[in-house]
Amino acid sequence: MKNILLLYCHPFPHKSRYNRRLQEVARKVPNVEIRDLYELYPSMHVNERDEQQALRRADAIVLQFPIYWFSAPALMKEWMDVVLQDGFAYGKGGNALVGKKVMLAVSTGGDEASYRAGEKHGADIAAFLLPFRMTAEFCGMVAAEPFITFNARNLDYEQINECAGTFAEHLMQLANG
Amino acid sequence: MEDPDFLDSAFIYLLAAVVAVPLFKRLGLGSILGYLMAGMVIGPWGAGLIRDVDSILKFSELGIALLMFLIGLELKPSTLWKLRRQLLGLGTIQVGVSTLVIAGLVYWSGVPPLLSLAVGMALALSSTPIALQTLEERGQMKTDVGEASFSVLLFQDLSIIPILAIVPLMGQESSATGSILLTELKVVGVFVFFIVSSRFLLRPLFRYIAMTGLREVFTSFSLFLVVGSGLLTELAGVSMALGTFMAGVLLADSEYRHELELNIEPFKGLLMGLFFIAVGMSVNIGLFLAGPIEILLLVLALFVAKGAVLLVLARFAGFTRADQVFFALLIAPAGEFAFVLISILTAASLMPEPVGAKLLVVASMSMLLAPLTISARDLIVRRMMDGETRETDVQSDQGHVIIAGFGRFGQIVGRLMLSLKIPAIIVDNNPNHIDTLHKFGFKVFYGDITRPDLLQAAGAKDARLLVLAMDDPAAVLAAAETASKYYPKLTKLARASTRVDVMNLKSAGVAHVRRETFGSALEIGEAALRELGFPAHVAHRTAGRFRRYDEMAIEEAYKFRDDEAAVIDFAKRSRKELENLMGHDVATTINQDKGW
Repeated sequence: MKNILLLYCHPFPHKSRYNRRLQEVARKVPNVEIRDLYELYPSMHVNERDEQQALRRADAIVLQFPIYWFSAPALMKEWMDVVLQDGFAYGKGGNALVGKKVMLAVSTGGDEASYRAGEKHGADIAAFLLPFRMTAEFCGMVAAEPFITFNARNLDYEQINECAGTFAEHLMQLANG
Repeated sequence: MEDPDFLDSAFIYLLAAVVAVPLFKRLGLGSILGYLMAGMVIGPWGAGLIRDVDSILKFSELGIALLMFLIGLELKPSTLWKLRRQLLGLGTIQVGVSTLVIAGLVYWSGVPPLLSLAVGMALALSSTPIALQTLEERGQMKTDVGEASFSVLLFQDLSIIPILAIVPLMGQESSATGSILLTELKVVGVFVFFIVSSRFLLRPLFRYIAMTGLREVFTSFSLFLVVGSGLLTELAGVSMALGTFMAGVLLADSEYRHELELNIEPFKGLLMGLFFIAVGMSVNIGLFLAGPIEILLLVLALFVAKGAVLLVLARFAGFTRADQVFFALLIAPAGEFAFVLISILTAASLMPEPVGAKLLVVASMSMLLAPLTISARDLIVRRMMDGETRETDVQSDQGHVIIAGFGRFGQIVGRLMLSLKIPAIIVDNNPNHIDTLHKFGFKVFYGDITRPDLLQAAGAKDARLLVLAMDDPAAVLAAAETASKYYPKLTKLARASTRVDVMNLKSAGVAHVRRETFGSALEIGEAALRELGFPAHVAHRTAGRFRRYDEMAIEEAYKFRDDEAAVIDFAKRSRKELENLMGHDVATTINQDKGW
C-alpha cells in the first residue's frame, strides 16, 4: 500500500458541509495522513521543514480546497511558495517529488454550466486548475484526474454523502495504484 | 592657588572662557584658540590677573588624564590591537625621524650633539590635547586621519617613558638601561594590577555603588578611579595620561561605560579648557616681542621639519591631499611635553637658561598657531572644493538599536535583535538585572535612559531605533519625551502599561506603542476560542479583529483625553459598539453554513 498525504486547505471549514464530510470520510481510509493547513498555521506561517518531511513520506499527494476567486485559498499558495523550494522540489538536487502522484480535490460555489466560455466563470474549470497542474509537472510529479464537485454549497445531504463515497474510492485507488 | 584667591581666580577663568570661547567658535576658529587667547589675555604676560601659571598647568593636566581615560573607554582592547601596526609603524617613524631631523638642524646651528638630541626629542612630540580636541570637535575621531593621529599620539605617550629615563642621565656617564628596566617592570606591574582589578574588583564595587542610587557618589567614584589610576602609573614613572588611558581601555567592555563617560565628560571639558588657558598664559609675550621674527622663523622651521616627515607618512597611509595636510598640521606643533622636558633640562643645567626660555616660547607659539593653521587649511580646502563635493569625512557609527530596560519585556525584543546580529546597545538601570544578565552572556550597560546625556552616550544620534521597554511607565514616558526633544528624527517604540499610557506616548511622538499585557492576553483569548470549538484560523482572525477594534477605540478616546466625563461616556459607548461589531462578524463569518 502506498502512503497518501492529504493537504486540506479551507479557511472557513465550519461553513462547508461538503468539505467537512469529505474530511470525515478521508479519515477512515487507511494510509492517509491528513494535514489541515489552516488548523496547523492559523497565522499563515507555514513550517516548511515539517511540510517537506510529510511530502517525502508520501507516495501520492491530494490537495483538497475550495475554489475561491478562480484559485485556491491564500494559504494554499503560501504553502506552495514556502515549501516547494529550490533544491527540494526543483533545481539542483531538487528531486524530492519526482514520480509522485498528485490529485486535486476541489469544490466550487458555482454550477458546472457556469464554467464555460461566454458563461459567468468564462472558461472550463481546467483553465483555473492549470497553475496547480503546471506546478506539479514542474516538480516532476504525475498529475491525476482532478476530483471536482460543482455547486457544492447547494448539495443536499444525500448528494454530499455520494460525493464523499466517490472521494474515498479515489483515495483507495491512489493507495493501491 | 592660595585659598583666598581661589574664588577670584576661578571667576577670572570662567569669565575669560565664557567670553572668548563662544566668540572664537562663532568666528569659525574653534574653541581651543579661544581658550588660548583667553589665557594670553589674563596671564602674566597679558593683563597679569593670574600669576601662578605652573601650578595651574600641573593641575589642569588632570584634564588630559580625563581625556585619555574617555578615549580609552571608546577603545576596546581588541580595537587597540587592530591599531598596533599603525601605532608602531607611524609612531616610530614620526618620533624617530622627526627627532633626528630637528636634532640635526639644531646641531647644525652650533649646539652640542647630546643637547641637540634632547631638543629634538622635546620638540618631536606633539600636543595630544590640541590634536584630539580638534578631532573631537569636528567629529573626526573615527576617521582614518583620526585613527592615524591617535596612533601617533599614543606612541608618543609611550615613548615618553624611555625619554624621561634617558634625559637626566645624559650629563652623566652611567648606563641608563638599569633604570629603564626598573621602570618597565613597575609599569608592567601596574598594568597587571589594572587588568586583575578591572576583572575582579571593579565590577562588584561599581555594583555596590550603583545600588546606593546616589548619582554624586557614582561621580565621585568615577573621578576617584581616574585620578587613582593616573597617580598609580605616575608612581611607576609613566605619565598619568597613559595610565588613565589604559584604565579606560580596560573598562571599555564594562557595562558601566556609558555612565562613566557621562560623569567624567563635564570635568574633562572644564579641565581641558583650563589646560588650554594655562598654555595661553605660559606664552612669554615679552620674550616673543624681543625677537618676533627669529621666534616665528624657528616655529616655521619646526612646522616644516615635522610637517615634511608627516606629509610623507600620510602619503604612505594613502590619505587624500587635503587629509595629508590636515594630519601634518595636527601633529606638527610641539606639545606640553616640551615644557616638561625643557624644564628638566634647564633645571639639570644641561641647557643654558636663555636657550630653554626661547625654546619654550617656540613650543607655546607653535601650539598657539596650530588651531590657526588648521582653520586656514579648512578655508583653502573649502575654496578648492567649492561645493563640488559634500564633506564626507564624518563617519557615523553603523545604525544600531538602543534597547532601554532589559527586564522580562526588553529581553524578548533584545533577543530577537541579537539573534539576527542586529547591533544593539542595551541600557538598564537595575544593577541586579545587569549582574544576572551578565551570567547569561548579555552585554548590558548601566544607566538611566531618561537623561539626555545618556541617550547621547548610547549613540542616539546615529541610532536607527530606540526601544523603551522599562517597567516604570513614568520613566518610559519621560524617556520618550526627552528623546523626542533632543532626537526628533529617531524612531521610537515603547511599552505601555495602560490605555492612558498609549495615548500619552503617542502624543510624545512614539511611532509604535504596545500595551505590555495586551498581546499575550489576546493570545490566551484566542486559545480559549479554539477550546470552545472555533477553527484555529478563525480564532486567530477573530482575535486580530478584536485587536483592531480595540486599538481604534483608543485612538478615538484620545480625542476626548482632556474631558473625563466624555472619556467615561465614550468608554461605555465603545464597549457597546464593540459588541455590535463583533456580533455582526460572528453572524456573517461564523454562524453561516452556506460555503463550499
